[in-house]
This record gives sequence, C-alpha cells and structure tokens, in this order.
Amino acid sequence: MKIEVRKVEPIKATTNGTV
Amino acid sequence: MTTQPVRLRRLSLVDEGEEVLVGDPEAGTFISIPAVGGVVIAALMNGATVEETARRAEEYAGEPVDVPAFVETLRELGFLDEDDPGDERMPVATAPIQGRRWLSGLRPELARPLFGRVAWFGYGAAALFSLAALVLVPALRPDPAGDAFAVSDIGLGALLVYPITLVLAAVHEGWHWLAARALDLPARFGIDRRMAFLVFETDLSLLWSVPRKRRYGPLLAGLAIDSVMLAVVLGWRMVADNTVLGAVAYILVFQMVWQCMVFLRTDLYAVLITWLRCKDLWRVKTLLLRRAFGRLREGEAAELAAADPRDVRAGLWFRWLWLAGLFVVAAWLAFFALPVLVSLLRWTAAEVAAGPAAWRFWYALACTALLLGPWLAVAGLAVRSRLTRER
Repeated sequence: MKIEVRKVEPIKATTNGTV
Repeated sequence: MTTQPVRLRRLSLVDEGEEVLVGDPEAGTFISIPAVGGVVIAALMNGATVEETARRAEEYAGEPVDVPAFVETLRELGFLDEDDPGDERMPVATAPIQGRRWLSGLRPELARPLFGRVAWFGYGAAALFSLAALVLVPALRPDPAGDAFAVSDIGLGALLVYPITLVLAAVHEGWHWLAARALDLPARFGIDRRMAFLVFETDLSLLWSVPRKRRYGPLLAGLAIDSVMLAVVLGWRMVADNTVLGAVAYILVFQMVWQCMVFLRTDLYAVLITWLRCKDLWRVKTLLLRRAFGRLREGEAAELAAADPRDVRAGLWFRWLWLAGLFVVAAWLAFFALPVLVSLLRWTAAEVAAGPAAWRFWYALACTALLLGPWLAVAGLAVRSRLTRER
C-alpha cells in the first residue's frame, strides 16, 4: 500500500486592522 | 540504499487516532498521514533501516507498505536532514509581511500562570460580566454615531481611534503569543489581508505539534484578553465615563464581533476547524465551491477525491457560509467603513481649502492618511496577490 500524505493549513490568529 | 538508516529532522508526531500529524516545527510545515505512516516515522526515528521499517509497517498494516516511496515524499517535503550542520533554517513564509524567524524569548513557566485553570475562570467571568453589562445597561451599549467619533472634530476622532485600535490589537496578538509560550511553542507576527480587511496576525501553526485539546487555549487567548479589557472599561464607565473610555469600549466590541466572521479565517475559524478535526478546510471549501459552479480546474477533481473526508463533510456547508460572507462583508463595509470615510473626506476637503500655508491643511492631510492608510494597504495587497497569481 502507498502512504497518502495530506497537507494541513496554517493556523493564524488575527485582529482587524481596518476600522 | 535500503540498508542505510534515513536521517530525519527533529519532526513532531501527534497521534490523532486514525491519523498522525507529522511536521517540521522549524519550517512550520505539517502533514497528516494514516496511522501506519506514524509507525514508519517512529521506526525511522529510532534508526531502523528502510528494510526493517517496511517489515514493521507490514506487520502493523497486514499488507506490504511502500516505504521507499514514502521516504521520497518526506524528502520532497524537506523532512529529511540533508543540511550541513550549522545552517540556520528559516520558517516558510505564510503572509506577505511577516517576521522571518519564530519568536520565542519568554520562558514557558513565566507565561503559564496566565493560562492556568484560575486564569481561564477569570477570562470566562470577564466575558460574562461584559455580556451582562451590555445587555442590562443600555447606556453602555456601543453607539456608532456617538462613541467612535464622539468628538465634533472628525480629524481628532481619527487621531484617537486608530492609535487605540493599534494598542488593543498589539495586546490581543501578544496574548496569543503568550499562550503559545505557555506551551513552549514559538509564534511569529505578520500583516495580511482577509477579503477587504487588513489584519494583524499571529502564526500559531506550531499548534499542529501538540495534542488537539491543548490548541484551544492559544486560539482563544486573544478573545480572552479582549474580554478582560472590555470588562474593566465597562466597569470603569459605570463609575466615571469619558470620551476615551467610550471609544475603547466601542472598538473592543467591534473587534470581538468581527471575530465571529469565521469565513474571514478569524480566531473562531481556527477554533471551529480544531473542534471539527479538519485539516485543510480552507482549500477543500474552495474546491467544493468551484465544483458547485462547474469550474474545477485541471487536477482539482483528483485533489478533491483525495481530500480528508472530514474536510469534505464540513466544506459542503462551509462553502455556502463563505459565499454568504462576501455579502456580510459588503454590508459591513457599507454600514461601518463607508460612512466614516465619506464624512472624513468631506471634512478633509473643507479643511484643505484653507491652502498649504495653514496648519489645518497639514493636520487634515495627516488625519486622512492615518485613516485611509490601512484601506490603501488592503488594495495594495489585493493587487499584489493578483499579480503573483498570474505569474
């Protein structure tokens, strides 16, 4: 069997800078 | 080749049941593989040869496992240690403007008391107090017309609001970093765009290197400190009110409501994918949306077929939430941003008419630059991402 690799997304915490 | 051990970097390994999260914390890249992949990585880490590793993997899986092909994939991902010793490695950039290095710089034991059981009880109490105060005391409710620009001079309003926003944003993002430090993880700060908003962001991707339940603290730390600041300001306003306190309370409520727009990849989006055990919901959502409109590009159908079933399950409804989000953002801009910008530009036009000899001329221009700057930055980043996509 072939081992399938899945990418995971970056985890970002944000604040709105346009008020 | 197969009798040589494979030299892996110092990889992180998190068992998630049927899958294993593997990553290179230095580069900030992480992947999800089936449990048998974890068996292979663990064997290679222990110095087993490819041959010996394949034997252990077959024992685990009950069928032959293609270990050499997997090792080649690990090489492509940069997970093999092939550097000269002493080479400094930088994390992969994930935002247009971003710190180049991971930021440690604080001992975990110093940050830990801020995120213990007692601290989280305090954060929860602050959130409940703030909510109760806003519901029960009408005078404390944010009033866009009154609080944000309570001062009659809109330029002074701009000079007051934006610096306060920056300070509050720095505390919010700094708290995410502190919570990461409590887990002995580094983070890094950056500036990016979310649809039509400029955002300050903290890259917490190294949370993929710790068990799932420990990821919630750093993800909720920003809203936790927002709650504390809001509770203090609301309590203060009950005793002695003034314009600045009104502006701070308004901005805090505004920013906390903004976090609810999960389709912008806010803090609560990260909480959502952690709770749903998603891996790459953002990409799968895009693919599912394209499929719904018959716009899948070459290779994307295969990519979707290979996607994580949990991502697909969540993506089937999240794609419509994202689409609705476009309209929510348009309404948000029309309701909040546009009126402020229009009245600002009117005021500027009137002030600038005095001519460059008058100090009012320069004062008005400075105020306008301060408020328009972030929106121009959003436009610049949007153009930039469009250009790099076409290249």
